[in-house]
Amino acid sequence: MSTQQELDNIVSFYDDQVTLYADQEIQTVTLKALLGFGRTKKAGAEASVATPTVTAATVDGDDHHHQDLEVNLQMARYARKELPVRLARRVKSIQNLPFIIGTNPYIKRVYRLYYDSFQALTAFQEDIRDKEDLDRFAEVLRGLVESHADVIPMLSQGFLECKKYMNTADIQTFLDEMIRSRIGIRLIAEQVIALRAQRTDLLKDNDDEDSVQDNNSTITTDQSNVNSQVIGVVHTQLRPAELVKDCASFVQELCNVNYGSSPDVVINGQTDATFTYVPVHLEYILCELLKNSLRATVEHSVKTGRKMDQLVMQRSDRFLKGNRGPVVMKEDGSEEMDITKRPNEFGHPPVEVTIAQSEHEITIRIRDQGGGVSKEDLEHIFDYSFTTVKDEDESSSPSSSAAADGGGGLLDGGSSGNESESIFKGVSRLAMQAGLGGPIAGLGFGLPLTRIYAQYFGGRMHLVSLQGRGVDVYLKLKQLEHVEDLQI
Amino acid sequence: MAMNRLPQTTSRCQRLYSSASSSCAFSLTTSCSSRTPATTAAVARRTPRLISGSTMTTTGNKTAASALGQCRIVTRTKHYLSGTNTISSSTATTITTGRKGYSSLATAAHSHQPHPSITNANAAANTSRTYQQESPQLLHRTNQQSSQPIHIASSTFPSMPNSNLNTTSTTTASAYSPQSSPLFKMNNPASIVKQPQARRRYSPQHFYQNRILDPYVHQAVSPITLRQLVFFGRNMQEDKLLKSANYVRTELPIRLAHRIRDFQNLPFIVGTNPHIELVYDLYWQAFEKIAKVPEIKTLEENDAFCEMVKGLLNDHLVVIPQLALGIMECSKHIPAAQVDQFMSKMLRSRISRRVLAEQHITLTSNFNSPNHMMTDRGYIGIIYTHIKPRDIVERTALLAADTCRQASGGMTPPKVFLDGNIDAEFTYIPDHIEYILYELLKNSMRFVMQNGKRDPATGELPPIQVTVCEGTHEIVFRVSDKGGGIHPEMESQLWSYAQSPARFANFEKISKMAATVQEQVAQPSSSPSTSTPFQETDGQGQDENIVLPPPPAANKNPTYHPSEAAMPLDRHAPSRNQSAQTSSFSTATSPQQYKNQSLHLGIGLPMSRVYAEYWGGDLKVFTMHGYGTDAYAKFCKFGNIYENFDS
Repeated sequence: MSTQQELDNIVSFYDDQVTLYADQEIQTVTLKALLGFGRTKKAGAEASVATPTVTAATVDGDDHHHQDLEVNLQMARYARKELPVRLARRVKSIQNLPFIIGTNPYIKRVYRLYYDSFQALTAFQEDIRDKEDLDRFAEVLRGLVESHADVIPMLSQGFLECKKYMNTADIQTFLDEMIRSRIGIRLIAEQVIALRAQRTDLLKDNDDEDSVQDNNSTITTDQSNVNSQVIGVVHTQLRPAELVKDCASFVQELCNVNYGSSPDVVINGQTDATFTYVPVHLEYILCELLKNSLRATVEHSVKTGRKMDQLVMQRSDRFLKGNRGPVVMKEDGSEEMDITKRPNEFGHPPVEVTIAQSEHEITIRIRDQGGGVSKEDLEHIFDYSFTTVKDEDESSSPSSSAAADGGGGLLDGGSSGNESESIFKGVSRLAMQAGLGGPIAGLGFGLPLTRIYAQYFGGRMHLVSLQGRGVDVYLKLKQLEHVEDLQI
Repeated sequence: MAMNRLPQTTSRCQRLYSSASSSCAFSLTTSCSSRTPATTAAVARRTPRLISGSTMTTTGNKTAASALGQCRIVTRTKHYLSGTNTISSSTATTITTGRKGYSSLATAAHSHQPHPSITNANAAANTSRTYQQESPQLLHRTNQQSSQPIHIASSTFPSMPNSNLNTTSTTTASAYSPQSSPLFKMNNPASIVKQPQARRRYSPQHFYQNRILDPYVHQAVSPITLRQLVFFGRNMQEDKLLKSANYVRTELPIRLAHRIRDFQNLPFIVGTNPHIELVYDLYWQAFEKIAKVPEIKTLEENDAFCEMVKGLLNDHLVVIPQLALGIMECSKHIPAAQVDQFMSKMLRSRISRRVLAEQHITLTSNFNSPNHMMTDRGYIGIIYTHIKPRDIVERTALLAADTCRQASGGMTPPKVFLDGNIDAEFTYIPDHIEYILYELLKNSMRFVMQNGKRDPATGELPPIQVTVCEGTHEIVFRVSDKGGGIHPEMESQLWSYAQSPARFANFEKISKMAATVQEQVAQPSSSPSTSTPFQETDGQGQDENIVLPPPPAANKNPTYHPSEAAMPLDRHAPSRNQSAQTSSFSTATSPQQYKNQSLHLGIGLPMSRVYAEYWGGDLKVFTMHGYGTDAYAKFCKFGNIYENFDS
């Protein structure tokens, strides 16, 4: 490996192509355009649903197979032209880091990844003419996406080790840029892949429809409905309430594994709101935030001795009768106020998620009663590598266990709580890390990353800490339909 | 007319608690007849009007004075009376009777029939005297300019020339008797605005007066903390009181000077706006008046000083409306950011000066009150050391509900739930918190009443949730409503004084504003239940209109509806009556101005933030358009943060 790596380094030093590409302007694409590439398909799909006759459907089908292909090709051509430039800029930006940082093995690996990807893409033929070219190109992209899956953990580990050689502000700038650019690169690449996958699915569906259309007509309609809402990686009818629900039960499960109990999550407000967004992004954001909230709630319960009481016992009766799911869905105003404030059978007050939709934006407020963030920590929660998890020896210090860290916090209560369980702790930690989107957890990238994701399409994220009570996080996401100039 | 409202005002004051109990003496000022306590003798009540109305004779004057017999106030009242007396009878004996220069000057200014030559002579004589008693940094100036005593006199004390004296006296007099003055009866800013044109600020000397200002501008402000005020105010002794007086005496001119310089740094065109100019003038007058007060060495001097400051506080009630109007009219001449900076500086400084002045005045009046050892009860001047979130939220929620009920023509406002650390205790200036909470709750209620979705089953509006959180250093009040939130366009202008100039348009309808809750919750005269005192009104209202919710199940949560708590108004029963009057000495001079409760002034939120930030707290608003709004008002718990004051 080392010889290969050395070779690469030498090659990359004499490689002017990177500079050449990096000097080119980034051709930004608006999300609307990205959607537009897929928009025509949506229209076609709806048309096919509307026309019940077999002949019409097949004609239309042929028609939008063609359209889909065209759209996909457009996207691919754009990606072929754009991605090398963006990758080259990243390569360049790593090259401009201080030498000592470049010699860190983690950073070096990231550098090689980007350089390799750049090479692979530039090596691909310039013109993507037909279906076969597209398939091959999509394979290349898939390889790229897969190989880059671990970039963020590597970066975070790398900079954790390089902390003392570079000032914090510079690291912050570098990482912000790196991560934002990474989101863009992934989005473009995945859009090509997803469009291709959807196109093939559609083909298959329509083929099926030809043969067994009488039996399956309802299902196909459903599917094409879904397909019409999902354009590549973008969902045009995303229901945040559903997503919150999914994320909540997932995080609750993790919380149960780690602590043996978890708070309820109450969803209220406009639970029927829908909007256009990239579900993966929102899912990431919600999981991170909920993870912090749930962890803080449980830890605060332990700290303040919140336990179940009489009233809760009554509720757990209901629970025994099976009336209570893990998530309480509450339509706005349908129940008394204090239901949402009532602790569950473990004494944990619920985490309240409120969804509000207006013409221009969707606001998701996550409100917990986890004791809040201390004043000192509040200044640092958006710093990279600010975490309470990293140093296991220090994790018993009181201030660190109370802090909301960048995402890996769930782990930290486990370590400070029960020393005897250390073996199991390690196991559950691994499980959690796998579950939470790779070993990002605990490396202090959770909150800063969340914020970058939230801001990526013009959104905002505010965090208000009420010390002694809890944290309110406001996630304000723009309704993409109403925004003209969002660029990725 | 002022008399008729008296009982009402008092009863209103009763339910507002405020700073420490005051002596009767204190509220017997010539400045505001509506504040005169009902307990004082009828003669005493008439006196202020006599003075301000300038219709009195020397004999009437004496009767009034003698009628007041044993009270401590008499000295002060006499003070004024004799001053007026001397001048109207055209004798120059004042100086020799041992009156301090400033007091006779002040009274001269208040007189309506000044004798030009005498006044001039008096003033000139006083001027040179007081000038030498000034602070050291002025002394050397005197030496420098001693060759031209006349010049100094005329430039330093511009109230001397005849025309000036007249205009000055008009303003002062009208401020002293708002109800009796035709100016304020009309309630029309145009009448106030007309005055500046005749003013002396365009006189050629004006520019050179800045020589007096400069040393003050170069002096740094000495900020204080709430805690310092508390410690200082405990166990008041004569020497401490005098120390306090002299601190106020030296500190106020410095703070005023900084703001005057801010005015001077505005674009010239803005300075020529009549509203801005009026305020500028008021600041100059106040600066001059206070700057020439010599060191205060006796309690009598202190009393006189307090009277003067009180007068100034009253004069300055027009400042906020005038500033807002001026800024509104000038918004095209100054960039928005500069306007915002200027306004918040002005307001912040205004709070700081009023805190200093009111604190000292209240301390003085408490000290003067015969039983001042008894009247502490947690109050130190205008500061209260046992503020409980539960009480303060209850009180302001009730007031806000009342306001909203009236504004909407009897519609039932939403419930207010309270939870969190509602029994935490801390030290603060209740007026400030009340103002903020009242504004927040009023806004929330207004939005909920406009947009809130009623419960289909009970028909109730969605409640407002107030959560109190006690952190290590701060107390946070979170006010959460479901009133539909704030539109993004409005949200962007939430804190700006400049971006939506039209928001201040309603200031044309009022002339005075002290930025306190008291003035806003004026006695409801339009509603049918006016005749009954407030408490009963509230009770009735509930019986008839409000369907009270059943108490929260099992009282599990510390949630409750404020009106259930029967408003323990007698918490400070013995002193409340008096203290309410004390605190409102600078407010509520013309409550009818606020009677139209729907009058939306647009300054509530920015003003609230200035209040909140003043002692190191802050105010944040997050809105979820389409759902509701959350406001977070944070206050420093220990009062150990210095005034937030930009010098």
